[in-house]
Parts: sequence; C-alpha cells; structure tokens
Amino acid sequence: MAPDGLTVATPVVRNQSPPRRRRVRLPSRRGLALWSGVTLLAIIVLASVLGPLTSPYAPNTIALKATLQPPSMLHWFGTDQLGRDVLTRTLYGGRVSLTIAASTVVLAGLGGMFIGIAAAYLGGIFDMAVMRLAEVQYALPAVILAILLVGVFGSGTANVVLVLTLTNWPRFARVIRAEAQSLSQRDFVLLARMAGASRLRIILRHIAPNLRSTFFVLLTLDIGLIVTLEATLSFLGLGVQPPTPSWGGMIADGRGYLDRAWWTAILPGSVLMLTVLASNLIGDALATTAGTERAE
Amino acid sequence: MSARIHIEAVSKTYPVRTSLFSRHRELAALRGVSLQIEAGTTLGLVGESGSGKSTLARLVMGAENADAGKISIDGRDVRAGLPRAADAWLRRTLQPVLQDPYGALNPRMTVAETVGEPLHIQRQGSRAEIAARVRELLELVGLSAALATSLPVALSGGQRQRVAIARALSISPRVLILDEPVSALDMSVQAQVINLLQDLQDRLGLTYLLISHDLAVVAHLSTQIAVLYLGQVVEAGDRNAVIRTPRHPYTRSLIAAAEPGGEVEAIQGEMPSPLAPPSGCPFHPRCPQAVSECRSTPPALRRISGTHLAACNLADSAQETAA
Amino acid sequence: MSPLLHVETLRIAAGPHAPALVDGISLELDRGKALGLVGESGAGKTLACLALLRLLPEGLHIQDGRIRLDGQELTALTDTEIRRLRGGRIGMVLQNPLSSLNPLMRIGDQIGEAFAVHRGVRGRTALWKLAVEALRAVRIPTPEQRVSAYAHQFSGGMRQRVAIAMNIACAPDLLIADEPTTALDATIRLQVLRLLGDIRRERRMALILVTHDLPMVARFCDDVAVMYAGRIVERGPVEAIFANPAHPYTRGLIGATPRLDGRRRLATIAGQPPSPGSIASGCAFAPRCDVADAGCRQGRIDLLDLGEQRAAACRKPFARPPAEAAA
Repeated sequence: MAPDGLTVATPVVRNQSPPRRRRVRLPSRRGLALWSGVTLLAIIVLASVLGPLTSPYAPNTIALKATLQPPSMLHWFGTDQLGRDVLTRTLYGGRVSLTIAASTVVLAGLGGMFIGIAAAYLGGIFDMAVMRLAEVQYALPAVILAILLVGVFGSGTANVVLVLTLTNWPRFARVIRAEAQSLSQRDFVLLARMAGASRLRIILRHIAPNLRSTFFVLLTLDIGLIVTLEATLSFLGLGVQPPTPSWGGMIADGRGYLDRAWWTAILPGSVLMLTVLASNLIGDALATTAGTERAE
Repeated sequence: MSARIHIEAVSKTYPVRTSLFSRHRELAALRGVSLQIEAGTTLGLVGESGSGKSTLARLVMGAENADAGKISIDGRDVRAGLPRAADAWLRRTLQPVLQDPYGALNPRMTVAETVGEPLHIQRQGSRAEIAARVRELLELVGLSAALATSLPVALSGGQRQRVAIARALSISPRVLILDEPVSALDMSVQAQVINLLQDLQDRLGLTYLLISHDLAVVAHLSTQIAVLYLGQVVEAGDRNAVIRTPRHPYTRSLIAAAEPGGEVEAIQGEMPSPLAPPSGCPFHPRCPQAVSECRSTPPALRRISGTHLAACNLADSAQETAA
Repeated sequence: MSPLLHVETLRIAAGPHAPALVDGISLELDRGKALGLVGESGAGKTLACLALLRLLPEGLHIQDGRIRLDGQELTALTDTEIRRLRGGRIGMVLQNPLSSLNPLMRIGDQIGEAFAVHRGVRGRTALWKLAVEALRAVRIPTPEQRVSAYAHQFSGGMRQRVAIAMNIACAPDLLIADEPTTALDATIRLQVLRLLGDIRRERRMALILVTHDLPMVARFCDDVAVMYAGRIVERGPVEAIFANPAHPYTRGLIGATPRLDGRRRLATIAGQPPSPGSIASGCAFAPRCDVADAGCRQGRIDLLDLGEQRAAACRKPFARPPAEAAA
C-alpha cells in the first residue's frame, strides 16, 4: 500500500458470484500450444530413453564399409563418416543432452530460487552483492561465460553441468527476487506479520508457495536454453567429449559433410530444434496461464 | 473486556523523491493528530486520499512507527519493533481488516488454514482445538462450514472479506482496525458486512477504529466521528453532532457529497499534495468562507460544545481549548 | 417527439444458445434527459452500453434486438459507420480515467484527435485551439497551459474531466458514463457530476449514467433503470421509484444503502446474484426475494406497466413482507 497522497481511493474489483467450475479452461490456441509442446517433448524423451534399448545398433560401432549412407530402411537417419548409425547416436545423444539439461535446470533453478528469495528478504548487502554479480554475469554472453568456465573447470559431462548451472542461476534469481518482493507487498503478507508470523514462516508459507507457477515457467523455458548452450559447448569441443555422442558434437562432425551427407548434421540438429521448440511452447503456454492467474 | 485507545499528537513524515535527481522532500502524512476511542465504541475516521488515514491505520496497527507522539492501548505502548512479549501482546490485542478482499488472503491457503494461522502462530491450542475454533469462527461470521476447505479463488468478494474478519477475530483481539473494510464490495454485500461488524461489536464488546472515505458507512457504524484533511483532524465529536451540526466547511462538503440534497454545495479544487501544504489553514484554498486570517493562522482545534471540536477560524466557539 | 435512443429486446450472449448476459432489455431515452442505469456487478449494465457502440469484448455478440438512435438502426450499420458514431454522436466515458487517456500523447493532441476524425480539422494550431476550448468547457483552470501537458500530470479528477472533454468535443447527442466517479474522492465526485449536469443542460445532451451509487442517481438523473441478472427489473422517474419502489430488488438496494441519518441495521438481500443461465425459468430474483411465491418461479416475468411511466418486472409489485412495519 503506497503512502497516502500517491494513490486514489480506488475501490478494487466488485463482488462477483463465485465461478461455477473452478477448472481453468484454456482457450483453444493456448491449449494447442501447450499440448503439442508436451507431446513433442514426451516423444523426444521417450525416444531417448527407450530408443537406445531397442536399437539394433550400438552408438559407437565403427563400420567403415557403410560410411555416409543416406537414410534408408536399414538406417533411418543414415550413417555418418565412420559408419555409425545416426539415429542411434541421436537418441543416445538425446539421453546425454536431456540429462544434462534436466540436472542443470534443477540445480540452477533451486539454487537461483533460494538466492532470489534470500536476496528479497534479507535485502541489504547480501541483496546488493548477489544482484550485482548476477548483472555482471548477464552482461557477458552466456556462451563466452561458459567457455571461460570450461577453461577453469575442464570439459566433460559433469563439468558441463557445473558450468551451465553457474551460467544460468542468475536468470532464476532475478525473476524470483522480483516476484518475492512484489509478493511481500501484498496485504496477506502484512496481515501475517500482524498476526506475529516470523520471517521464516512468511517465506515458507506465504512467499514460496506463490512462486510456484513462476518457477515452473522459468524451468520449462530454461530447458530449451540449456540444451542449446550444451550443444554449443559440445559443438566447440568443450562439452561432452567424443566418442560419447551429443547433438552438438554430431553437428560439429557433420559440418564438413553438409554438401554430400546432409543427414549427419541436419537430422540431429532438427531433433535439437524440436526439443527447444517443445520447451518454448510449454513455457509460453504456462506463462500465459500464470499471467492470467496473477491478474485475478 | 474492551480496550481504550489513545492517540496523542502523532506525526509522521516520509522522505520522498519526486524525480531521480531532486533532493529528498518531506511528505507530512500526519501532523499532530490526537484521538481517543472509548472502550467498546467505534471511532469513524473519514478522509479522502491524501488525508493520511491509511498512514494512521498503519501506525495504530504497529506496522510503522510515528515520528512524534504516542499511541497506546489501555496505557500500553503501541509501536513497531516492540520486544517480543510486548509484541505478542499487541498482536493479541489488535488486529486489522483491510480494504482489498482479493489481496487479503493467500491464494494457496485454504480458508481453514488462513483463519487458523494466527492461532498457530500464537500457539493457542492443539490442532484439534484450533480446528474447532475455526469452525466456531466461520459460524460467527456467517460462513458455511463447508467452505473451510475452499481456496480463495472459489469465494466471492463478500465471502473473502468475511474470512478476513474471521481471521482477525481468531485470537480474540479487543480492537479491530478496519481500513476501508467494505469499499471494494457491491452494495448488497456491503450491507451484509456492515451488519456483521455491528453484530460482532455488540456480541464481543470490540473497540473499532473504522477508516473510510465513505461518510455514510462511517455514519452508520460510528459513535464518534473524526474528519481528517491533509494529515490533520479538522473536526471531531459525537456522531450526531458532527453529522447534524457540522462546523467545518470540509465536513459540510463531505456531507453534501454523501447525500446531495437540493442545493448542492460543491467546493472547488482538489486536495493539495501533502508535499506542498498550504499556509495557515490547510483547507483555505478551497474554502468558500475563507477570510484573510485563514491564510496566515492555522486554526487550532476549538471546542464547540462537549466533545465536539473543529479546527476553523470561523467556527463558533464557546471557548478556545488546546486539544 | 420520438425518443433519441430506443433499445428493444437487446440480447447479448456468446452464441445463439449460450446463456444471455443481457437478456432482452428495452429502454428509451429522450433528448437531453439523464437515465441512471443501476445494478451490481454482473448485472450487465456495462455490456449493454458497450453494445450501443459495438464495443463488446471478443466472443460476445448481439444475438437479438434493435438499437435506434434518432430513428437510425445501429445494428444495421457497417463497421466504418459505427466508428464514425463513436465520439461523434455517442461519447463514452469509462471508470478509470487513466485507461481512457494515452500516456504518451499530449492532452491537446488527444482531444484534437476527436476533432480531426469527426470534423476533419487539420493542423496542430487549429486542433489545439479547439482543445483549449474543450478544456475550458469542462472547467479546467488555465487550459492554455494545460493543453500541452501529459496525462500523468493531471490528478484523477482532472483526468476524468479531460476524458469527458474528449467525448463531448464534437457535441454528441448521447454521452454514456460508465461509473465515471467511482474511482474519485467524494468531493471531486460531486464536481464532476455537477459538470456533467451543466453540460447536459447547455447542450441538450442525453446522458446514461451507469452506477451503483443510488443517492447520486436520485440527485442527477431524471429516470432510473434497475438491472438484475441481465434484465431490467424496474424503470421509471427517480423520485417515484425511490419514494416507493415496486420491485423487491430495488427495495432491497435502497434499504441496503447506508444513510447519514442511518438506522442501526441495514436491510440486506440474502444470497448472491445468479450466474448467467442458472435460472431456467421464472424471476431471476425469486431465490432471494422476500415476497416471492410459487408463481414467481415459472414462466417469464416481463415488465409490467404500472402507469405514470413506471414499469417493473414483478408479479407482485409494491408487495412488502408481512413482518415489515412502516419504516
């Protein structure tokens, strides 16, 4: 509530009868986006999990007699320059990429959220320090930062997770901090204080639960970002190391064969693109719903 | 059972920056406000935006501290940041009900959780006892027990406000601060909540500080009325005295606005910003009766008769009294 | 003389079989008269007004009914013709002055826009000159200086005057004001309403005032129409209706209004307004009515002519519950 003199006595929303059904019915456009995103992502995840188990090929078996074969009934995605089945490698690579993405998103998400809430509630020096650090990180392009950090920690799957977590926590921290601050201005938080609630109680019972929808929106949007970042690192040879397949690595390898064997790069690239698309569709749809909720 | 509230010469200023590069200016939200609320009665504080009424509500709640003056309930100090025991006493003695029913409830907590929370915080009773008390409270405010498991999103504005009142009453306070409790509600719902507040006061012997911009609502519930303009009390007294024989031109204009009779005395202009209050009487730029004295001399609150006070240079005065 | 505005059985819904949000309302308004449209939220009063200017939100359409302005059928007009009407012959002022005004345009340009569109005036100097006159007409002090200001530099009451100025700039026949003073302080409210009253008289402009504030309607309107659940349940001259309401809902609203000389207990109406379409037959108010009987819950209750230009959609107009003593 702003101090007097800066607000008009504005009666807020008039009393309305309670809506009959409380399920949120998404209008068709938004619903379509959400469900196609979910379906797409589900397909890719399922394929990455089950595919490697059912594939007749191993991802790393070299077959020099069958190099650069175009897509056929035998090899649905063709073979690469070492005769390895592209589809199998794509699916194994999916496992790697998605696992990295999932771990990073969870670590960066939770870490960022804690930091954001702490910054909002503790304020003062901690808040300033954390926010300045976040801003500095933001000023650097994520890729550059990631490369720098790989230089510090080294490459390889585990390090990639570490690097990407460090690159991505500010995104969560900043948004969560802003949300937490705006929530703490709401009447119900003031009233909880007036009932004698401790700071901890307010954070746990009043602030955090209301951050849920924002958190999930950020989470889903982040998946696409992380996947792309990881692919970039692998593309540059700084991420997942060969022979472990990864989408970025496959694109890098296939670059030299674009003129005669486009499938080696384009097909894994397309799967990468579809993953990012799915993540964005879901994130966008959730964001719209969350935005509507907040408006109520 | 009920408590007596004493507000003495309270002032509160906020430092405000009007633009990024200007220096801090002083916004005097309240200047030397003194009020007294007798136990078990209702003081209705009327004011428009900019009058300082919400600031006063926050001070009396103990959410902020006054810069000058003292607020006490039954002789005990009311402040923000009291030591633990005193703070707990304050929370148990006084509870607020605020304007916006849509912001007053945590969207993720059920009605039962919201109403029971103060009891949990103050550790008053076991789980079962608290649950029983919640049922009692819902009945007290006229809500069906079936709503206990509902989330706020399923409730109407009137229902939410009742939940807010139930929560406020859960730890059996003796004082309720009601800051625009019905402004956001439809007419018929407003009437229900006003009646409810009246009934609760009769049953539980509560003391109310009612703050509103709506003079009719204030007139309906209050035993005493005080009118706030630009951070100062310009008139105060018994409800009937203030409404039937208003002595301050601002009060008269509020009455005209609440019930526009035949000859409408609409005053000109708007309330000036608290950042730049007029000299002398704060109301003089808009006052139809202002004389030169009003520009230079800020009028003190004069006793008109009994408890009826008015701060007007031209008010009939039996005797001049420092409030 | 035929009325300026004639609305007949106007029905607004999402589709031909969807529940109606405005369920067949009819009203008339003479030139220069003021009609108060009263009701609580969800009654349909805002939708009815938006329908006049074809500004209904997406998904809602006029399913049935006629709207005649000075003999001209509005539902038959093309989109271009309706656009010419907005701000031209019909103006609309909304509740929140902040949303009526463009924060990035100077006031002079915004008011000037009305003249540019409807009168074909060109050139900033000419437009601003007209804008200054418009500001003067709504009693904004020093209009020559204020015409170059932005919306945020005005206070709430001033902004509402500017919004009024924009909408009366081209001397419309009808001004619709949807809760124009709800967001304003009491003393400012009086100023704005008085201003509207004066403008109305000077220009013989008709006014529809949508509000929930009954005392204001009693003071500033000639006629009143009370809406409930999408229908008009009572209409007629203000004095007659407020002195002796026919419909129980009107009686309830009047009883629920706190007064300065208040009795201790306000009359309340039990229950809540119904959601659209939930009352299949009979009077929509019957579940909450204190004099309803079995006959009230069947069939369709239409407006009953009560004489003296009054009408009420009630089978038992003027009925009072048995326990009610003369108040």
